[in-house]
Amino acid sequence: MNKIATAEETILEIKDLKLWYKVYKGYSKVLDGVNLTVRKGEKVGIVGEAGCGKTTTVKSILGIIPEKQYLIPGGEIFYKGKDVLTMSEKQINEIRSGEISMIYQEPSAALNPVFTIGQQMMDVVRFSAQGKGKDKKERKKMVLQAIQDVFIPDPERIFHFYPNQLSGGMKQRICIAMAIMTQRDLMIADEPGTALDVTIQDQVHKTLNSLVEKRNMSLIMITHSLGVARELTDSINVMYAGNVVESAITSEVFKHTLHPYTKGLMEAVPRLAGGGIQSGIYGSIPDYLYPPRGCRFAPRCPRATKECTEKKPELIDVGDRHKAACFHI
Amino acid sequence: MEETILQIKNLKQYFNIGNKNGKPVYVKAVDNVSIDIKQGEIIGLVGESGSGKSTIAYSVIGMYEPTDGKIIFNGRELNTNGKKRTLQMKKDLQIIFQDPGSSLNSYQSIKEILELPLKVHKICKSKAERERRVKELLEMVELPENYMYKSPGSIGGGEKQMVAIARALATDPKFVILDEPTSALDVSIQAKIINMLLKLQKEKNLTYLFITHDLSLMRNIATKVAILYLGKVAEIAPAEEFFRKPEHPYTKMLISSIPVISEEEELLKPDKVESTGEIPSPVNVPPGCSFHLRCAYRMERCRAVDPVMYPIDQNHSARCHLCDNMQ
Amino acid sequence: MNRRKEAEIKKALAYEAKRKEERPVTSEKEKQIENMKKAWHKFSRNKLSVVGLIIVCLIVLGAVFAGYITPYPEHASAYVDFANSSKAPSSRFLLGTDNMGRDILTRIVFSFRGALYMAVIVLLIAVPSGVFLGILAGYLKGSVLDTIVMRITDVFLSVPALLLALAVASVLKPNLTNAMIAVTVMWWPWYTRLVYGMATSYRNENFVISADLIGAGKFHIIFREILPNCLSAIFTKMALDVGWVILIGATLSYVGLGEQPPTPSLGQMVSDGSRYMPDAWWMTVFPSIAIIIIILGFNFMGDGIGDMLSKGDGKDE
Repeated sequence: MNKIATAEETILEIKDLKLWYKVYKGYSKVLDGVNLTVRKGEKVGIVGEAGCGKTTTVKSILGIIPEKQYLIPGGEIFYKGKDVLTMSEKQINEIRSGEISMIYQEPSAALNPVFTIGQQMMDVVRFSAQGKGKDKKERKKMVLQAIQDVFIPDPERIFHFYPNQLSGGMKQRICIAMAIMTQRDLMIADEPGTALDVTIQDQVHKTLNSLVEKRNMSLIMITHSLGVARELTDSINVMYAGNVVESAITSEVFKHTLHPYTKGLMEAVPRLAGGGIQSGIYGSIPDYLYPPRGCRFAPRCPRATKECTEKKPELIDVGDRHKAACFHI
Repeated sequence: MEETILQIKNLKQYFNIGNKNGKPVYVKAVDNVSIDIKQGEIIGLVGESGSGKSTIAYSVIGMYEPTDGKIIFNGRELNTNGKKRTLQMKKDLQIIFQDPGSSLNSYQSIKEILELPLKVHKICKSKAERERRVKELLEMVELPENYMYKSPGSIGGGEKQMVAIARALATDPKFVILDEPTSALDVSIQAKIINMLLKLQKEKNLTYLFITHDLSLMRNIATKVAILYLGKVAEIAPAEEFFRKPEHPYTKMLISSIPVISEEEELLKPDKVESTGEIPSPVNVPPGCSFHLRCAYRMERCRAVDPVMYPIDQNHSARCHLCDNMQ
Repeated sequence: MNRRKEAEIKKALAYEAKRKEERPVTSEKEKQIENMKKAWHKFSRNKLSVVGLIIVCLIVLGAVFAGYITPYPEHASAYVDFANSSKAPSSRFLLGTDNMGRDILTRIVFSFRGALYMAVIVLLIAVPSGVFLGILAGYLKGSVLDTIVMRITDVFLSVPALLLALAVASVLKPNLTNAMIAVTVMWWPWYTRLVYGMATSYRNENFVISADLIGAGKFHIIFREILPNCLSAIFTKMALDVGWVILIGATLSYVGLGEQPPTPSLGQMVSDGSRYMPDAWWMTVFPSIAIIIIILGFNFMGDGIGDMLSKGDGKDE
């Protein structure tokens, strides 16, 4: 925790980001003012259920949504002080290839099945800033080192494997190796363990965690599981329907849960200690073509009042580094 | 209440996946599994991929013909030696699948979907009665009446699963298999579905065979839990026992791997059991104890001898040499 | 890549502000209208599909009202006017006349009748029988029936289609009915193959397994569960196939195995005209162009129907 206190340098800041997808009949207002701050060396979690816009948020940072499909009617994304939304294709490509890396939920989809692990990793090095000017032997050394770094024994053998010869957990490790083998500043992990078995997920998360910490990288961890966020992150942003509804240091979120949505989510998680299953949250996420006018959680919220249906609550400070977007706190 | 409703006896389910050196190669998806299920119980089958948990379910429901072993339901053997099961058997046993999107035909209305079991089992005499029954079924899972004219594509994932539940219960079954019914859904929706299933179980005195990979979910709903590893039962015990004193090293590893959200739960995790190693492929099961490659407590004996189920107390047994009190 | 598209944002904001008043659709009837609008949106997103639809409409209308819209309806039969034979296109004969002095435009429009008639009859027989065999074999994969049906299908598919049609047509008496029989014989296996593939994959889907576990009969599973899921692919293929059936029909009549004179048919006109090439080029060129337009029209429309029936994710492209 004290890491946050010492390293105050902000690496990524998303301010009031709005993103609309073009759909038949209009615009699906998927992001409705997302605020997010990532400091150097910080591990930030984005927690939310399916369709809350967590993946869209990180995709918009890297600009990897097909351009024709969306529109950004407002907001800024500052990466190291520069707005990526106004960058040229060349500038953003430099960031993609040298500074930010991403790993995905489905490792088998992220690896090309017709090339060996070695070939694919060599390519990553070749096009990176660190790999430029190095000869093949040196590059291979980098790759082997990276495979070793993710705790895979016998890298020389794995180097010649095709992705289908590896298990899901191994593939995800390779993806992590690719993401960290050139010096990066920010890693975005989109549900890296969700497709894996729980014992393997645990291993992959631990590997990821130790590497990010060792290299002093910042991490954005996207997950639908509060448990995963609790174990891996320094701070948590809870998203609901295109808004960050609560944002705080991880331990604080669990100790002093404030937003009704976070509370509902917390109660719905089955506990290892038993005690039965709570009722869950009534209803489902809104239709983004016709989102509620006020607070987007109001139709499902047990504490909603008239004010909530009319005005949108801002994400405001409610405590020490604790923010929430709700009128009733 | 204490009557045994379903008995799985030494069930083996092997699949031929081709030939190697002229000999057929088998995947031993389920290898010698025995489970007794009492009327009104909720049995949790927990395991990771390749553990054979779904295969057991599919054998019970009749999608596969068991390679060996018996499945006895209410005193009658379900194994029909290649013949089709009778309608009555199908009526008594129902299944709910993981992905509600694929288990409902998107080209039918919900009314048509719910009417099918009523027609097949001739539960309703007239058209009007059938329609009334469909309404009752929707009411039972707390969906509005006008949903019967909708198509599955136009409702949410949780609602689809509710329809699937209504369809499964339309035949008034005695035994329902739940094959990861909530793992494709969000936790807030999962909570709703689970509560619905528990309510219906009480009301209709159903017996559930609940298949999942989520141990913490099982902790909250199951009366008895069986942990499977590579086609074999590793440990079987009442749900509470599991977390108080897990015996099998695999169970310990599983519990310690679960991401939890409170300190209280953190304390339940066994210390010093780190998850290591990979789940071996079920085609190439290691000799001896199938878990020994990943086990922190492995002994010389584990490499050579496959352990049997050792009883720990009346309802609790584990398949591990450490639990062999005779030693 | 500036992702701040100010002009577009302004337009979008204005559009959304106006749309705000609109209520989401709730009633079933509204939803149906909505779905139809959406289908049209998907169909018309590709402008070529609309072009195809217009061409197809014109062809159908032309065939139906040929007697009223053509300048010389009597030229469609055994009419001879040597005074006007082999006239080049002019204001009197827009596309010229053939060697017997008949107006080519009139004869082309009348030939649509035979062509469409043939396409409709062929598909009406070939598609249901092909689909029936395919779905049966697919659902009963691994059975004796599957083996028999699919091996027969393979035999038919392995013989070049046109050769097969020619063989059948030449054994039978050359006329339109027999040409249709010939084309039907070569057409059904394609549908068997298409549906077979889909049925084998659908039979492992959970909704089919669920119906089976409930105790539904084979009949219900095949026709109520699997078939509806195959229909969109079948319709798309049918729309695309109309053009090809017409082409095969034209080929048969080109070699004299289709519609017999004096009834006009496109293939026959091309073949008759080719004797007067290149001097009287209009006799061959215009019927050929008509064939090309028909095929393109049905293909464009077929692609559009494919787009319309495909399940998009709702995002605009």
